[in-house]
Amino acid sequence: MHLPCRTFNETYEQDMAIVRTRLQWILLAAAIVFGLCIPLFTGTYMLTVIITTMSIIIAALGIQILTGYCGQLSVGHSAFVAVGAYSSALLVSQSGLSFWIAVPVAGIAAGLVGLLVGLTSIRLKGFYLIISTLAAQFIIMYVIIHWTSVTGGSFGMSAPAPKLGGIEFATTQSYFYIVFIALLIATYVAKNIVRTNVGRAFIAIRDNDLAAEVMGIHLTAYKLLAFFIGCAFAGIGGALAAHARGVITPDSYTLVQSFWYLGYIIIGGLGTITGVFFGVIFVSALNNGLAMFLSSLSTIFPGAGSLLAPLMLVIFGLVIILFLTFEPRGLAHRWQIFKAYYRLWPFSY
Amino acid sequence: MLRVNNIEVCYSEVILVLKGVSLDVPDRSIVALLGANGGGKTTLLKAISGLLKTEEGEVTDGSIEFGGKRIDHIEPEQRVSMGISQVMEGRMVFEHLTVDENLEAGHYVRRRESSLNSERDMVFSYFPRLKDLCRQVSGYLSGGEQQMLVIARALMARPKLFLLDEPSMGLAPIIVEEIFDIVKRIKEEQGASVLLVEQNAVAALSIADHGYVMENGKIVLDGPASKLMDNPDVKEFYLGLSELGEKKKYSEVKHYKRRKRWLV
Amino acid sequence: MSVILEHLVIGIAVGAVYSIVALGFVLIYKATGVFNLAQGSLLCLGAYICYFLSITVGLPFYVSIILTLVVAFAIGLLIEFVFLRRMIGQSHLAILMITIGLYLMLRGVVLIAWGVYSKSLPSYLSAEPINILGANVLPIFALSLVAAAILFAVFILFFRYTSIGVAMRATQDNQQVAQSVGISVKRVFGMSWAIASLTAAVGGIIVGTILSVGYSLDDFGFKVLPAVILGGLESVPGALIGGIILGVVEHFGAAYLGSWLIGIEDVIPYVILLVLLLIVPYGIFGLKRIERI
Repeated sequence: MHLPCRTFNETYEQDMAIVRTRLQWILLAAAIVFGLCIPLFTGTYMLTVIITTMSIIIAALGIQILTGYCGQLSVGHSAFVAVGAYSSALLVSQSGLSFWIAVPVAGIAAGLVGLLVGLTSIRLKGFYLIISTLAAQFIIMYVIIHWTSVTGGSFGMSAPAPKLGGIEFATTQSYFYIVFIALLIATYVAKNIVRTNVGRAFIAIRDNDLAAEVMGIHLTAYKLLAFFIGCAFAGIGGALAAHARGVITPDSYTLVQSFWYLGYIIIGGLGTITGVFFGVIFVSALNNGLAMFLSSLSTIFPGAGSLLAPLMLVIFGLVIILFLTFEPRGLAHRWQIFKAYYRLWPFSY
Repeated sequence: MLRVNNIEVCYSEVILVLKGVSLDVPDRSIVALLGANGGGKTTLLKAISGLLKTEEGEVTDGSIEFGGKRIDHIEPEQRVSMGISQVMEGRMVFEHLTVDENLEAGHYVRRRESSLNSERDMVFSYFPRLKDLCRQVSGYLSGGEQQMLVIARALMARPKLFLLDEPSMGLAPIIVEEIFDIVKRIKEEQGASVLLVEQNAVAALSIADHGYVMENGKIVLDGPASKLMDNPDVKEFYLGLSELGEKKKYSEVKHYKRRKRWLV
Repeated sequence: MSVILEHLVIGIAVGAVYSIVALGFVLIYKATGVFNLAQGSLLCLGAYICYFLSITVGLPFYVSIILTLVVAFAIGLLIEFVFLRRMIGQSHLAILMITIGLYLMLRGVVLIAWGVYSKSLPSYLSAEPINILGANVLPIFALSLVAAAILFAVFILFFRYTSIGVAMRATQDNQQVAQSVGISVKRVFGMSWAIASLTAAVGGIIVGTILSVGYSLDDFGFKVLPAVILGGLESVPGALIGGIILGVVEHFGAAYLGSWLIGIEDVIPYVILLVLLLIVPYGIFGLKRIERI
């Protein structure tokens, strides 16, 4: 994309830099400060929504790396999210492990499960690979639902709030900071993965796996790595969301949920990290806007509130189709166009 | 019958491939289109048959008329039913279908007008060899047989105009001769016209009535086939014959200059 | 011995239902190269339309079946025209995601129109089991065997002997060449969606009778995926065999493992499929794609 006036990339470091201009530094710092101030002026309900959204972003970063960058289409992402959520909840409530260890361990656990599923990608690709991730979705959720003695079956289980020293992060406000910092770290890690040689190998595999192999990229290793990283992000996102809610049930991790994750990155734009933010925030805003609209409507038409879930499905499906048809590069691409426009304003070229 | 009037063709709205090409194919004649690779011959054929759209190509200027009607904006399948059949380069049979089914697919546009069997018998009168192969899966036929099959398949639609794209590619000379004889017979007996794109200029000009030479998206030379055969430039560049064989060094200079004059 | 035979017969009968649903996948994939994840939604929609016509409107059941098929055919054409026509020539994965969008949309539409509670179709068959080869089978399963046999015979003949069938296979082989011989690719695409929607509706009516008509019937599309893949995505006979294998495996799984592992029959097909795919990556009857850079 175009750079602002008088900004030139003269070295490799400059070319690869995430933050390139002073304005961007200022904006980034402002955004982080603003983020840290959010709990000061929002209500608990709104804050819960924001925390959920942030943990979804972390999980969606995973599918972006796996599908958007490495091209391994996964329709079982929410199952990996579930693995993370349940591992962390189990570790904290059953083994009494500290939250701070449990969450990374949950990430690794989900990553390892992902690795197992990824093994099929050595032999399979395209439509046939979808089947193996779909199989993962069904098999993992089968185990979670039917292994009642450990997971509580369809009644779910509790995921206690974290403690650090003597402080318990029981309030939504305090938990917000944990997720916020996790999100910052996750974004930084994801961005670094995709701009280094690992990320470039992923992109090569996505664009043409045979050509990538001929170029000397070890297909098996990188595909497995993509599965591990993608699912580890899913696990961490899932674990954070689980402890935020305090209780987890299997119905938050259905196949439809997995489709939502795919939808986020389609709407945001495949193969961009910023796209994940755009996609998740866009859909979350849509969902909550619709909820508010319907609840205000339900004073006139009783029962309008129950329309929320199905109506959201229709709208979400439609939005996915519209994006694929008219803006296959997603919101991130729109954002680039907007930035270019604003840089050049008032001259159109 | 076919009149191409000063057309321009762009791919992906960027790459200009044909830069003002005009060409006439009269009734009941064979017109040969010669030229080097990448000259735009296949693009011209696709512009006429309408297959450009599937490759993000577009006719941006000029017009194509067939039988007095403009056809440059109608769908490819309608052009086929008007009587334009393209035989694509590279022996594109439907590999997983049998010979019979390939012919049936070719008969698709006329399925309401004529019976499949009578058309198939007509086609077999030109290509007797296909009759014995009709149960075979076409992907396993030899190159010559596949080439015959694709011409036969196009013939099933009883076109008024054949667009043949490099029928000789990769075939033994004796098979090329056989195929060209059949093409000539089709023209005479069916009253069809043929627009023939060829690298094999000798064979093409030997059956053609008229010839065009294309370079870099333009027609650089045209004339009756017999005249083209005698043209020294055509002889040297396309027929591979040289009268200047002895004075080698001088000829190279001259060659370069003449070549350059062509490519402008 | 007779117990095993009985399980086998019931498994085959259930498998016949699966193979009807699998057929819809194959029809669309064969002609258009689209892997339609919304196939189950078409099935669910078909079942609900049948419910609407027979119960809500109150038409005689056989009339409403025929009307359902007509409506399903039209819906298939409509979906192709509205959502997929623009995507011709796009990457397969993009089109696959369109069908995911369709799946979400159709589920929402069904929920809005008919709510979350399941409905039942009129009981047009007796609940008295009948005897096939020594096995007691509900009449609906016998009917589904007949329906599967008819559908598969019709489609195998259709693809072999009719011009439009041959044209559809030609389009699958190479779209551009198909266009060059005058086949309207758009019409072929529309036709295949319409036909697939019709078979889905047949499946929907049968499944709706066996279970009941609920929004979660669309999961049936995913349930039969192992059958589709097992048979190979392009093969009509493969769908039949894949469906029957799936039915038998599932039934035996439920009969012999179900007492220890409740609900295991839902995942057994996937486990077996995964193992099998690692050995035969293109299914039993699938075409091997030759890849070059």
